[in-house]
Amino acid sequence: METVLRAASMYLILMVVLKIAGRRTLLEMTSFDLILLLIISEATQQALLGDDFSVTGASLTIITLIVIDILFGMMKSHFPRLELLIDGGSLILVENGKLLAMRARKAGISEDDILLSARCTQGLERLDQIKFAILEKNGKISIVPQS
Amino acid sequence: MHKPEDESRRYPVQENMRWQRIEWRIQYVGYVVLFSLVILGACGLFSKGFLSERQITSADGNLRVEYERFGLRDSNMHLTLRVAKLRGSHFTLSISGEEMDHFQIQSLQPQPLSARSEDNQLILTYAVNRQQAGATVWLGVQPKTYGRYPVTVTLNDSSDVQFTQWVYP
Repeated sequence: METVLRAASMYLILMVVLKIAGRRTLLEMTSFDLILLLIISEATQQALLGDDFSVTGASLTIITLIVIDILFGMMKSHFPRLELLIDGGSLILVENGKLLAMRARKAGISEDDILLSARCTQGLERLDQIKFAILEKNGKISIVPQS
Repeated sequence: MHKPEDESRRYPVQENMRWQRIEWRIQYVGYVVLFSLVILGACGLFSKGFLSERQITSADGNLRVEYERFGLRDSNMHLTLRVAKLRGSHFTLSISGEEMDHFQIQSLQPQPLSARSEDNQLILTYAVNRQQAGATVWLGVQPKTYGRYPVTVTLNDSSDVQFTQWVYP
C-alpha cells in the first residue's frame, strides 16, 4: 500500500508544482534546466522508493505512475474542464502584427521570446510580419506569418 | 477592429479567457504558497531549524531535554537529556510514550549500567561518580512511521518533562 501511496503523492505534488511554475519553464531548455531536471528526478527517486530495493517495489511504483497517468488521460477526455485545469488552453499573444501586452506579461513571455521563436521557426524579422503568435499547451510558441 | 485583450478569440484557436484569468490567479496564489514553503522550510518547520529546536526543563530544574519538535520519517533526530544535580549512587532516566514503538534508537551515549523496559517505556540506569556534578545522555533516533508522538521523560521517578514530536511522512 505504501509504495502506491508514495508514487501517487509524488505524482500529484510534481503535477501541482510544475503547474504553478508555469509553461514558461518548458519554453527553452537550457543546459542548466537539464541539470535541474536531473536533480529533481534524483530528489524524487528517494521519496518514491525509500529503502526498498526490490524488483517488485520498483515495478509497482512504475505501474502506479503509469496507471495514474492513464487515469488522468481518461478523465481529461471525459471532462474537458479538467483538461483545461491541468493542461491549460492555447493563448494568442500576437494578433495581426500587434503584441497583446497584458497577456504576454501575465504569461511571462516577452516580445523578445516571441521574436526569437519567429526567427527560429519562420525566419521572420519583425513583429509586423507575424499574423498570429500562439502560446501552445506544450509551452512552445507557434508562429503564423503574414501572408 | 481589434478586440479588447481580455476577450476570447475564436480564430485561429478557441480561447477561454475567463479560465485563463482563473489560471493566472491560481498561479499567483501558488507562487505565494511555494515561496512561503521555502521560507518556512529554511526556518525549520519541516525539521532542523530554529522553529524545530526546542528545550524543556522540568519544574524542579533537575532535568532538561533538548529535542526536535519536527522530524522526518527515516531520517535522524537527536535527543539530549541533561541532568543537573545528581544525588545518590545511581540515577534513572525513563523515556515513555508511543515513540518507543515507532522510533528506532540508533545511538545511545553513554551506555547505561542497565537498561530495561516496561510496556512502552525504556528505563536506563546510570552509576554516579563521587565527583560528578551533572550528566548528559545523548540519543540518536530514527522515526519509522509518521504522526504525532507525545513523549514523557522521567528522572528518578521525581522530575519529569512532557513534550510532543511531529513526524512528517
